[in-house]
Amino acid sequence: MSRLLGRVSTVLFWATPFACALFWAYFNGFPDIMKSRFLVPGRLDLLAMNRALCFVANMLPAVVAMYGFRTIRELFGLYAAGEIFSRRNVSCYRALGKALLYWAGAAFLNTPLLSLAMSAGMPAGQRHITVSLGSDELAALFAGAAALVISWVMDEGRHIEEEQALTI
Amino acid sequence: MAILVNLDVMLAKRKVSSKALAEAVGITAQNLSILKTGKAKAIRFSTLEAVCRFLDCQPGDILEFKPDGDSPGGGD
Repeated sequence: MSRLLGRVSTVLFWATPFACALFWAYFNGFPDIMKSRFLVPGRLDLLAMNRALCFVANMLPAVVAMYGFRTIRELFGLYAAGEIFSRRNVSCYRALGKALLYWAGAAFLNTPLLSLAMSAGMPAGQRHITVSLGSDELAALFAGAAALVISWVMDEGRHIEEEQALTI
Repeated sequence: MAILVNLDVMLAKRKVSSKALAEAVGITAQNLSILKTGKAKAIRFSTLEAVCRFLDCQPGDILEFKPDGDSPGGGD
């Protein structure tokens, strides 16, 4: 099971930038109802430059997500190798917690960057900047804090296991 | 570590091999090595009792307190 989840994480790690690139490459071909969630008012399609900028803006949370997937892959690799309460497990949980916190920050920054990228090149007065804080970001903050607490508990568990192993 | 394990000395005095002690006490040779090299963090009373019984000695013959500079109360 750990190996399977490790492989899934590897696939997600590589799929993230590709999915991001494909999304913005074919953005204009999407149905209007899908595009309306992203588009700035007064523009139905995006120029290649705007889509390239959107891709760059989107890569900010994507890179953080890739870091998270890489950490999960490493963690499941350790589980598959039978390492459960090691120092490396603890650092994986700590890195995962930090990745979730970073992701919340990146997702928060992504909205204004995306709106700037979409309205770049539009005449003065029609450029937009949007700021939003949604439940996704708050959930990531909460999950990140929880993962950091879990990493602390794991470290305590590691100490106990180490003591147990050195009790003769 | 302020507690020294003098198991090697007792083994030599009694002319007993580590392997024989490990078998008699019911611990692995690896664990006995951890104990002899002072890497152990704790020793169970049951292990200590079995070692003392087999080597016909007292716990004080195996364990020795030697204060070091870093320990609280260890002045010299």
